[in-house]
Amino acid sequence: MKSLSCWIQRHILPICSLLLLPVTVTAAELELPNAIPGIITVSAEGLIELATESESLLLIDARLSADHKQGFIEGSISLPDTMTSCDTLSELTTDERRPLLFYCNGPKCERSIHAVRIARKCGYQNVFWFRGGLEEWKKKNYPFIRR
Amino acid sequence: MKFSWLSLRSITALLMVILSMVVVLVSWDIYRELAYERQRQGLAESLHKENINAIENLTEVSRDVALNTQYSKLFREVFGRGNSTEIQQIIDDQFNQYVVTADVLKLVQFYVYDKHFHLLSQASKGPQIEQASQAICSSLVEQARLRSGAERLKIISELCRSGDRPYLAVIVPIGGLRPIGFLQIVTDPVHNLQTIEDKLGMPIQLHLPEGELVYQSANWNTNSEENFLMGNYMLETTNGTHALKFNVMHDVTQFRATLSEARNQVMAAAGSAALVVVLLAIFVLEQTTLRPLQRLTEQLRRVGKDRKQLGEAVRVKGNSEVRALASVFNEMGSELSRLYDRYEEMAYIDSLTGLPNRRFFQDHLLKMLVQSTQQKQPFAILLLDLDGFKEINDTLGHHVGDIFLSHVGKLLHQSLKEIGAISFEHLNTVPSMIETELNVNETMIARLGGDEFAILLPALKEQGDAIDAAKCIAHALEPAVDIEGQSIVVAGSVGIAIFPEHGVDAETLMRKADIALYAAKDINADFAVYDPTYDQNSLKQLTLKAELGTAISEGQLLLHYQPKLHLNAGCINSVEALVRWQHPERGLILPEQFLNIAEQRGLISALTEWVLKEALLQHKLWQERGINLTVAVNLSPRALYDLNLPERIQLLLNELELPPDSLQLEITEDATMVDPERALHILHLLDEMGILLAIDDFGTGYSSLGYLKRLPVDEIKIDKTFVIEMTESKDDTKIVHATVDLAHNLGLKVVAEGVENESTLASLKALGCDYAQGYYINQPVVADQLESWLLKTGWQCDISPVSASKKTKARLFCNIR
Repeated sequence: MKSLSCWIQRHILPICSLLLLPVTVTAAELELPNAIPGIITVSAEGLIELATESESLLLIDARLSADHKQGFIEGSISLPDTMTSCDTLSELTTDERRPLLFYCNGPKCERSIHAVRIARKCGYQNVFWFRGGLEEWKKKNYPFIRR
Repeated sequence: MKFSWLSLRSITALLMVILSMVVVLVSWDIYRELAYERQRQGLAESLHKENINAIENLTEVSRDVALNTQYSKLFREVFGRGNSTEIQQIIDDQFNQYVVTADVLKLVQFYVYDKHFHLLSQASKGPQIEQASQAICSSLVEQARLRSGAERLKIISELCRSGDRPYLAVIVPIGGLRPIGFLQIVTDPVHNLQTIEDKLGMPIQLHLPEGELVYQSANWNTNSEENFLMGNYMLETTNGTHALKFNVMHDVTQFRATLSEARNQVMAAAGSAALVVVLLAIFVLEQTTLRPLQRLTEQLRRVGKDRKQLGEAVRVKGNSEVRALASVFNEMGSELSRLYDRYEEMAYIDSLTGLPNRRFFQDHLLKMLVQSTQQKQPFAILLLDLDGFKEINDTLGHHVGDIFLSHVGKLLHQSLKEIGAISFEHLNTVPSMIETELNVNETMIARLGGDEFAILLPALKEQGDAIDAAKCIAHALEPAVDIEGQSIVVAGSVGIAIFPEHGVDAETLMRKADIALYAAKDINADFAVYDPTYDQNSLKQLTLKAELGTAISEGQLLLHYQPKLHLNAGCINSVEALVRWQHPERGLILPEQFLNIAEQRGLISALTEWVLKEALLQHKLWQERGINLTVAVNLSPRALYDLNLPERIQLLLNELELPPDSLQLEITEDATMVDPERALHILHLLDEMGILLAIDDFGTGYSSLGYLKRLPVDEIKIDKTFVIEMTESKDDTKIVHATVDLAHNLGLKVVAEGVENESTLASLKALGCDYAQGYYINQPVVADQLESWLLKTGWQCDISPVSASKKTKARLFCNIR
């Protein structure tokens, strides 16, 4: 009995790991898209530049509102991706040319990607994606608000 | 010995244990210091970590306070209006709010700047400034002001010193992504750093770098510092200058106790381990080295007590070195044993003949005495001495002498075996007798030394057996022996003493055999059995031997003078001095009886000296009285070989102021034969000195005329045996005649000795002989008698030989003749 479990431990587990390996790799690749077609990816500095240049920039926090309260970039509107739709977006702006910038917690967060895609589908033409999200923002000592 | 050895081991073990414990103690001190140092480092690290945490925490809280302040709608409105008083009101409110919640942070100041960092407002409760450059942590303000682009949005902070106190300042932008101004919040970090005491659970002290105490935990205890370990840490400002010094007190009571306990345990362990190791080492040492060495020592002791143990091998277990030592020891032991056997053999066996030596003989004799006494069994001791062996040694060399002695040993063995006195076959079996038990029925032949042999004849039935053995020995010695081409004949004399008839102890028996031996020699017999009458003679000899030394020193010797008649001149001009011993008890003793003794005792030299001096003194005395008599002195063979003789004679002559030809020396023919070269050398020396030399007893020796010619002599004296019979034997007359002619032809004077009647004197005169000496003329007498005799006979010569030299004297004699 004992020897059997040992055998399994020695032989089956490594094999299983090998089988799992490609799946994990694929997942990791999917998790971190560097760019989304039709969407401009920006850094924290790019965000600040956008904000400086364009008064009309809409900064949208795609996280859940609970997360938003934990800390957000000043001037951003909380619109969780779960609630993002052409309707909710149109409530914010109907101007499809108005620059929209989405962010969430960081690269591992898919909410902004999700939201960006929705915005894109909804026909917004100037969609920006702050890929680094709040994680990058905080790390670079840019100011954020906690409620 | 055992006790001290035991105690030595105990002391060693104890010392090792103490040493190991001391090592632990010392190393423990070092270890403890290291542990403390590590603890201190740990404390410093903890402090460092906690400080960073506290400062970071404070920075975050300050940032949030500042960001939230600028984010409030009211603030934005007021700021938008740009009214500094209004702004001040808002920040004063904030200030108050945070003073209430002072646990989180302790505010010092709020500065509000426009976007160009011009001071817009400040909290009224904090320290007041005029412009931005005077702000607390003004360098941070300057740094913030110089930024551009996105950088201007960043929140920056600084730990700085203002005055002598530390402050933490954080600058945040006002207005989010599009900054319209900046807010600087200044807090007192000391307030937050105090919480470290709770985090660490240890009392702390906070000092300004200059030393001023700014905070001290309530439970800071200065009285029991020995139980505490002090850790410290210096908090630095962002610029790297000292901001605050932290001391932390760590209670090490428990640690110390644990340390002590651990130390005691280690010491006990080390002590025990050392004890075990030492005991083990001692055990191993004892098993491998000490015990084997002890065994070797014991063996040496046993050998010391009993020599027979010498060759016995010692088997030891132990290390290879000790086994090697034991092996060498055993080798040495057996080698020594062999050597010892050999020395023992050498001590008991005469190496030359292979016969038992004197020591062996005496041991054997003692054993024989014991057994023979018990068994009432008579036995005989035979002592053999070879006659003339000394001459063999002197003339043919020791080598031949040694071979001869060895031969005699074999002869003795053979002859005794022939008569059935010896049963064993070879001489070589003798050494085995050393170890074996004595066989009383075994005859023993021993060499006592020199040419002296001894035979022990056991189980004697009658005296005749011993005599038979002696005869047999004498018979065996008779034939000539050929050694290296030399035919040697030596006779032997045997002395016999019989147990218990002649003595019951070894000494007596040996002495009596010796007496018998000398008796045999005296009577020129092959053997003699001891007889009590021999005692007198031998005793006399022994006494004389002892007394001769004193005789010379005490003036018991005297000289007799026998005149020599000058036949042609018919007068006496020379005398022969003859030594006599006037013994106080035995009367006058002739030289024949004591010259041998003098030789044996080595007194010849002294005797010769005395005679020479006495004779020359007498000569001088006569000379002073007008009597001119040359004195002739007989030189013994031994004296002739004394290389100092010429010098000593010269000294004497000088002393007495006498010319050399006052003295004549007479030597026998044979005297020169032992070592002719040396004799010749000395005779030449004497001749060169001018001393007259004469050959005495001419005709009895073996010297050839050729040899005689080589001798630097002036005179020959014909032996009396030829002269006495002259008148009756024509042969003797012929011999004398021929001798006189021959001598004259060689230029020598002739003296005839033993002239006992007138006819002989007349014949001699007719034959042309130069001098006559003998009883007919006068017997040897003392000087006074000779003087009066001379006066009476009127035979005193007128010619004084004193004034004449040797050569002229010879001529003078010739002229006279």
